[in-house]
Amino acid sequence: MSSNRSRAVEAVLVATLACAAFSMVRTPASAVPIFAERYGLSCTTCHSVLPELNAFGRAFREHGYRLSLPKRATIPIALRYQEMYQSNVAPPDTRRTTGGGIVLGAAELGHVEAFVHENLGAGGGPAGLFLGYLSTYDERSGMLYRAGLFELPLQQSPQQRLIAATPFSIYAMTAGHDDLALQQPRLGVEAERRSGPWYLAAAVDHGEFHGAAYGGAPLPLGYTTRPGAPELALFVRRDIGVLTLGVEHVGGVRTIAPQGAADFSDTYRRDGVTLSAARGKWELWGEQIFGHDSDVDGHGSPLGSSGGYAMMLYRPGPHGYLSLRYDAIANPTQQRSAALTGALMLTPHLRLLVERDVPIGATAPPAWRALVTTAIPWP
Amino acid sequence: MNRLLLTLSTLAVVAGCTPNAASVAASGGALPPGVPVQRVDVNLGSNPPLAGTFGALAGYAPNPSSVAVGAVIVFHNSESFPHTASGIAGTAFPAASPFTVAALQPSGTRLSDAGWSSGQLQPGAASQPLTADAPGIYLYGCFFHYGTPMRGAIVVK
Ligand SMILES: [Cu+2]
Repeated sequence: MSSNRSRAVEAVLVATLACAAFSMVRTPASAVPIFAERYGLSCTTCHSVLPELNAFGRAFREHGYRLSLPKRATIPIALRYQEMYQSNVAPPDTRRTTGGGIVLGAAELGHVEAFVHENLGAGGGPAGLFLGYLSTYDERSGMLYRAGLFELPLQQSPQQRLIAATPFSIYAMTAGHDDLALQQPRLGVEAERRSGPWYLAAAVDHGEFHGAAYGGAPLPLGYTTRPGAPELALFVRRDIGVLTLGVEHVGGVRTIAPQGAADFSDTYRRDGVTLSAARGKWELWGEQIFGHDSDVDGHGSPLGSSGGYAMMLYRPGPHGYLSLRYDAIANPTQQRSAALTGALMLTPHLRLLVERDVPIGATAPPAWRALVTTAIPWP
Repeated sequence: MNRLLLTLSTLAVVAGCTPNAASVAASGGALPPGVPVQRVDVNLGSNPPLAGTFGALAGYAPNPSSVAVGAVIVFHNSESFPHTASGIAGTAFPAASPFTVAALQPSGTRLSDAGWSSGQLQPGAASQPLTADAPGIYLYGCFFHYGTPMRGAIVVK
């Protein structure tokens, strides 16, 4: 009975969302109201669906958040809030809703833009700095430089502007005791350049940042890890007609300190290929990563890992999308999942996202999640 | 256009491929009816260390667990990050982790099998069934969190 009812509720929700998406709602969005306010623009200029960047938003970011438009005084901070409901919770958890707020800050310091993303704590976790970097664009060379705590420029934003309710498995993947996932923010310096059909980015970083916001409630894990050598990350993408093809490499050394045993070093690399294609209202995205770790147990045992995703995305109108995504990883045990996601701007400053697992093989009963996201103040 | 379609279909096949995947352990299903199953919860957050005859044990429940010869143990990871349940030879826990990368691969079907392991249990995953085939005390632990101390014992009578 209750399962039938939840299925009915689920069907109605998905249907409503799909109908609304197909009937094309046209409303502006907001994510960093500070920028919109500064230039007197609507938030929709950079975000068609919050918090994803549209083409203008990407260009704005790549030019160091600067426009040659008259500026206005702004409040340098904004608040983004998200509330999520999930149908299935694993014992001993019983709570189905998780709320989380973030404070965004942006300030102009001459030619440099300072950006801060502070987590207020979600699901009972502690608050802490999540991202904080200085960014500047050099007109002559066309280079964007960033220094501080930033997300790697992966094909998808792994956390800050995640376009789904669940993370991409390859970005969350760890290998043995090497717990540095691609989605974790890096502390370091980065340079990016877009030139014709080419996009190039390189980062040298400290491998991670241990902030209060990263681990939730602290659990004794019996080991700690730290960067053993600077991490190097390279991203190259090229547009070829409707396609964008890319290669990427992230590599470094992780030092692992198990309780009651000697520290050991794990040299790791993650090599990947990316592809995206856009035609009309349809987009296709794919990424495949192969990982190698030289020592994951302190006995010199190497470990291979791999995984990827393929995602089909349909945008019936500018302010909503439907996506079907398949994720797989092996590190070394295999984990596969698929999800159907619909996102829609319900009001000018409120995004609704509904996601439902697509069962693959004999796994747990499919769960669904719904989340609303908003940002204030808006211009 | 044909080339585009070819590229796209290749991508769809290639993305998400996992050439080095370890076989995923099957759980439950194939057990003959009437075999008692002891489900062991694998969760560091909800099973804090408790001192006992085997020293401090944490991360598994019930722990220690007592089963009769012939019973079957299935480990279930209810936490949001990976764990293993991997057998340890001997009658006392060594000070440092005795595990190698082999513990990340599922192996063994009986507690008396040397080096049995659930393999890396992803969040929500269950291990292969392990038969308690001979009386004795079986120690095990987690590859990742042995120092926590994420350790357990099974008493087979
Ligand atoms: Cu563990």
